[in-house]
Amino acid sequence: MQFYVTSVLIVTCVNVIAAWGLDLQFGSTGINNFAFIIFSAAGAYTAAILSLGPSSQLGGFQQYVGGSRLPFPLPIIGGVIVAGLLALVVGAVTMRRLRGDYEAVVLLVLSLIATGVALAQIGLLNGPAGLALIPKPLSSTLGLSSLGYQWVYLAWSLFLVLLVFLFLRRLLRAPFGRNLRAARDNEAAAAAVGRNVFSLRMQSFVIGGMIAGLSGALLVEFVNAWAPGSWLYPETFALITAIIVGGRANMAGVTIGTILVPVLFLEVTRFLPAIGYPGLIDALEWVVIGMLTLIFMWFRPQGLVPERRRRFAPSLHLSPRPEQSQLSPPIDSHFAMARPAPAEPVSSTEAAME
Amino acid sequence: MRRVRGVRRGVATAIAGMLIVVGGVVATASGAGAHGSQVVIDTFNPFSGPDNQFGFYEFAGCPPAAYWINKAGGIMGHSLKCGTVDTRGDPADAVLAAQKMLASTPNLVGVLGPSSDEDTATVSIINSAKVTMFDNGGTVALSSTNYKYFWRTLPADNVSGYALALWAHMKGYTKAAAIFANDVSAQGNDPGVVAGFPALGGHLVSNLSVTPDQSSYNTELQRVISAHPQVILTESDPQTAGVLFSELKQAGHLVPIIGTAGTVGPDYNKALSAAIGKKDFQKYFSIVYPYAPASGAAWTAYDQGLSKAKDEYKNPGQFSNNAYTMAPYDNVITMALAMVAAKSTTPSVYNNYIINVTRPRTGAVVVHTYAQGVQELKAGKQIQYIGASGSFPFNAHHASPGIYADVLPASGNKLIGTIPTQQLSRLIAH
Amino acid sequence: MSLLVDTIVFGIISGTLVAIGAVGFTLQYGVTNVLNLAYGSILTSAIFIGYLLSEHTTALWLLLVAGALWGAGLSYLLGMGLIAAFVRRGTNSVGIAIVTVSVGLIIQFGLEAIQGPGLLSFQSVAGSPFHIFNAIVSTTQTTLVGVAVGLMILIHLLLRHTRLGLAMRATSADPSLSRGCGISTNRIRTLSWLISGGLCGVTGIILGISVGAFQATTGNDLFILVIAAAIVGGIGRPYGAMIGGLALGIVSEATAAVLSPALKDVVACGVIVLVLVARPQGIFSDYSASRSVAL
Repeated sequence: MQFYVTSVLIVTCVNVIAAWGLDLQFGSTGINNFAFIIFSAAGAYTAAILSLGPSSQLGGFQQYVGGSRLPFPLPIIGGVIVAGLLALVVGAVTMRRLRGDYEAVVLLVLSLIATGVALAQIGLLNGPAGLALIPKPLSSTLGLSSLGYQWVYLAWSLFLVLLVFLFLRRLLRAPFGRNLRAARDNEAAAAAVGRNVFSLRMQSFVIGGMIAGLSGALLVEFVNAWAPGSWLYPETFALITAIIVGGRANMAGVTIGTILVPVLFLEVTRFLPAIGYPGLIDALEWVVIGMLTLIFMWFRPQGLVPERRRRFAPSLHLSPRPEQSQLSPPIDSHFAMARPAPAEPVSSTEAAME
Repeated sequence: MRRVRGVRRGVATAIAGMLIVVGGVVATASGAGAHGSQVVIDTFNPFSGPDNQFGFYEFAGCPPAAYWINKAGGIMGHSLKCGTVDTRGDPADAVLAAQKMLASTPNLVGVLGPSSDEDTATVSIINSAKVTMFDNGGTVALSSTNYKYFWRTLPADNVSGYALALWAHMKGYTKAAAIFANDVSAQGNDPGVVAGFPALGGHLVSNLSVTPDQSSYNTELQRVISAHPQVILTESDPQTAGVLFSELKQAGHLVPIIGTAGTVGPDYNKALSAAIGKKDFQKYFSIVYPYAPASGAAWTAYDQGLSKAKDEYKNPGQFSNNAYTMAPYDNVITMALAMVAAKSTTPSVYNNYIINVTRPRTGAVVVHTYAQGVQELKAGKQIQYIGASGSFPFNAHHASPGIYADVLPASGNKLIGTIPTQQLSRLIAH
Repeated sequence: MSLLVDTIVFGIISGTLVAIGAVGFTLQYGVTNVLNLAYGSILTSAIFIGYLLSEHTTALWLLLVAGALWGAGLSYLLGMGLIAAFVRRGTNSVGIAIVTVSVGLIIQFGLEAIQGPGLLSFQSVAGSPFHIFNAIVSTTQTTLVGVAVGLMILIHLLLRHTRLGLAMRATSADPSLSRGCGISTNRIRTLSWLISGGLCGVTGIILGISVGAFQATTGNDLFILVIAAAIVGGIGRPYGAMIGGLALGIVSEATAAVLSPALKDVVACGVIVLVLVARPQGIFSDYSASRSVAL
């Protein structure tokens, strides 16, 4: 029983870390990373390969590239680095000034193709069967019972959650965070006051990617197996739903969303005890995820815990008057349309359909 | 793209399970210690995703066995219940599912499974939890490991590849093409075919590995067609097979198709017969798979048990001749007899008695049903259980592969012929 | 020589399917400026409709028409109903993309829930084989290619030789200016959702007949290639999508023939990355700016 509770808590930690990483990109920077899960997968595969050792040693029943047996913290650090490098490469292609939804679609296609490549290229990451028998870090050194190990791993996960939390909080309160939000809310204005928007977005994308890698590595060292079925593109949308439900650009909100979305499922699955065939509930869960997103997008796009409006000038000692809120409207939704864009150049009229 | 199965959503089902378990603990706490409590054998297999038929076949063997066991008074007064755990066919999901099963199933005394989709990832977990399991996968790597709680009464995938090659040879084909999907289960057959068919003097003209679920395989098939095979040896998921053979037929080059045990099942039949038409389906398609004759005392008990357990599934007759359902039936009876012999339902105790109740030796009374076995054990006799799928001479790695060496190529579940065991072992040893 | 012919013939067969899907996807995007990521799921739903109908009729044209009507209807409801409502509420383009993904998930997994475990299959429409040099193709395949090519010619005629097409192109280029010129942009948008959905439905039926057996994810498998073709051809441009689809078809068949079938996906990936690296601004310049969703 304890064994099981700790498992759930560890996986929750993994999800919270991942959701924060995605929220840094999606919420605070406005990067629509529909490919988030592939960075998590990159971290997981790297950590797995760096702790499995050469592929020949287990009777060669798993084929993969590279492979070495590094001591404890190194595989996870390797996972973070590789995910960061992948983000660097992907970002270099996509972080140019592509329009938001177009950028999202390009990333979505990359996510789909990444899965396709991992499935088809057996020699790369052992194809559809994925990697298994990934050793538990330090399990022999610690010499604990398997339950004791669970608790230690949970403590380690919580430690990483705390670490990521402190890091992100510091980052977002620093000028860097303000610049990110400025670039998100008004790219042109941010550029006009001398901010390098590309560089800002790129940094956020890479940091978010590294956090994704950390979550993947943490997960894989716990479940000891990893396969393409574990990182299909809807996984990204489960996280996005959690963020939308909880509230973008608000770490508390995102945490609540991450915990809440599964609990809401619980209510659904509990009232539908073992109906139909196995797998029906599974499919219906995704229908519910989709509906939940639509419902929140319609009724409460800012989420349960909206982003806090930050005041940089503490107080102007003016009585709050309606005009003031018109001068600087609170950011109640990232999905609100921008104010009418300036007229576009007409010269492209004919070119558009060619 | 396969269907979605993700670890992350494990949390959802995980938390759901947790609350139910909490409820369960409270409930049993009030009635704790009641005599004749229930013991559980879970089928740990894919019940959703592309390989969901594994789970259905494996599970179907449990209720008939439970029927006979409970009718004979249970296992030392404990009634037996059959449960299911869905691994979704994904190793990472299966790891969490295994942990959930082990932590949240009170009185779990045995496991049917895992399948080859998840056995490399989960056998070690179940083994270290000291729960006896009967694997229904064919993963070759597990044929030589020494897990104490791991048992297998079905052949490894490489054996099935050799059987495929041998059957093609026996039918007089000299030019064969192999088409296997690139998943681990299908690819497990490939080495046996590649090594076996040429060793028999045949010529493997094409050895194609295909990526599943593409919308067309025209270019790939062009290679196969231009090599002019007389027969195609294959395993893939149904959708892939549908596209492959529909295109092969449209190209006008349909030849006999021999599938592995991985092509057994209504989905595959439906896809293939829709793709090439009913007539050609009956004319060209056959399957080589583990076989046990549908006769004898043990099989009769099995078949009767199936019809008694009809509440568990529609049309129990569909499992009558299925070796993949007979095996788990026998596995459950074997575990139950070992418990009686050990006078304990604890796996770490009765696990040592599995060999005692199955080993062929002089002086042991051969039994074919659970009730018979209990009776003889109570009389102080040694027993050897011979089940619906045969006898079980387990080797040092807890596998009894010899039993299934007779292999049935079936067409519309009709027996075409059997493959001689000796010839098959000679080919493998070659 | 024979390898070259094989590649081109099969490339065209698989390419036209992608091309026609991509035209529908990109045309609607060009006019309405909404990225419809539920397109793949609508495509799958058309296969299911075709499957239901195929139990009663085997007439190919009937299946195609039914698929087209279904796709058009669904697409209209999505575009002019749900999405229009969200746009009126002030949801921006990214929000709309998320809305369409959600709708896609609902349709895909709704179908999976209805379908149950296992998969469904079309009775294959048997054609007779014939040779184009060395390549063996069937009459069914060529009929389907013919249908797709015919539809593309129709789209071309519509865009180039009718007032409606002119209005569509104008709306695509500049909605507010077109409105100023007296074009009913609302009607044009309605029309583009209908055409897009119709093409999507036809693509679904053709895909269903070609693959035989299918499941709830089948449409989204093709959708990857559809988006890829649209990106390669320049998103929002129907002619680009046609060329992109054919090019992808031929390139991936060439990969399968010359290198290895397993490398198809890798090459598709490579092509997209190359296009993005080489000309992200050049090809997409009209769409990378912050244009908002047309009202």
